[in-house]
Amino acid sequence: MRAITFLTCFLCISILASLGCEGVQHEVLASEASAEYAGAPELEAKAMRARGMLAGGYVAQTSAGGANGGSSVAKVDPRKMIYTANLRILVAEPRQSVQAARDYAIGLGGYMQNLTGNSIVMRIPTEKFEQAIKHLEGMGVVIDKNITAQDVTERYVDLEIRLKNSKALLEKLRNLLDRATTVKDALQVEREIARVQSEVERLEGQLNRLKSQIAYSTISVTFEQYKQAPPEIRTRLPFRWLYTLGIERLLGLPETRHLY
Amino acid sequence: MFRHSLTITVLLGSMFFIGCGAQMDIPADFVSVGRENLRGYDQRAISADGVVVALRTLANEQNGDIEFWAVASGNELVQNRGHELVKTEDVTSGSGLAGKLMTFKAEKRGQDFIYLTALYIKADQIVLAEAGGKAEAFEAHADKIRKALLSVR
Repeated sequence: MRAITFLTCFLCISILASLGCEGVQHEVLASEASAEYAGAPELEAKAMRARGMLAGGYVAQTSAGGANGGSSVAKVDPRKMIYTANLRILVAEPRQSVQAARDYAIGLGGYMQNLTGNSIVMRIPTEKFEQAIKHLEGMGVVIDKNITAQDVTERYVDLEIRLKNSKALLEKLRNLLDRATTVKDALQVEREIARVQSEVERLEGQLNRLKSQIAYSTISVTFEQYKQAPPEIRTRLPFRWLYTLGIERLLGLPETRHLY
Repeated sequence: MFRHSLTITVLLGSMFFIGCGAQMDIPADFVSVGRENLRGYDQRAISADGVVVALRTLANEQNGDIEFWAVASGNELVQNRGHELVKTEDVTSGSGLAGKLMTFKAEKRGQDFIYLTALYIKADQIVLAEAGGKAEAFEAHADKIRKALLSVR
């Protein structure tokens, strides 16, 4: 008799576990089910927020009590955005500019993600994104600028809810494991625990990556050398031997004209 | 008869030394290039890893002094040829000529180079000793190169 009860519990939890993949839907279904004995309008509003249907905010956290018929109010956070910028800038000395950009990123609390030749990819704290763009623009002549802002609020909320539900499910499975009476039952539950544990880790990984992308904006800059005359006027003395100075002639390298 | 021979010998000797102009010692592990590779220099030598030292003499028709030519050279290299002046030193050549030794850095096709030039004024001539190569190779010969550039006589 106890084995039958245990098996029934396990089957119920397994069904819930399979629904766990659709976290938001799961949360909404749970809310709707509990509406029978809680304030129905509030739960409906909460379900809509979970779907991202309400304007003016979104559900960043839903309290565990919500699914159990509690009346806790969902917290409203600003939107979650990922900012990315690509710049091409004309400068006199690209390599020096790359170094200067790297030092600037570090000074802002960011870091260099990649450096190839005259291109650099930097991660900048998002609150300093605009400041960094303005600074970089001031390093030369901007010939190409592309800034994108991706709203990942819905994905973020979805991941948070799915993670929370998976963790709750894991807890329930662990409690069930304590009540298992036969080895067969225990093995079955352990298999399920392992699956849900792996799901929790996967979701945590995704959420952490998303948090990092939100906290640090990505700025890619390619510095190119001036190919045309800057406005500065330079003078050159009329002594031809001076023009033969330099590393190119000495080593027999192809001459590079820097005279604008 | 003996007096005539002596006079001729002295005259030929004087002509030989005048004709030679300035010279510098070539660093031990450098080899002098052949006449066909002088490229307008009076002396030109190269190391196995491609570092070059060279010497040439130019007419100082304008009678510019050492300060004038040092500033003119530095400006030309920095403003018009993409070199970066690292330092300028007052030096004395092997024959006691006052000069300027200028050290430059240059980046060409993504690689770092070092270029040194020692300028001396000898009577109505500008003596120009130069050395340069890829930064890494140059550093390995730096002391010998410096000694060569200061050996001008």
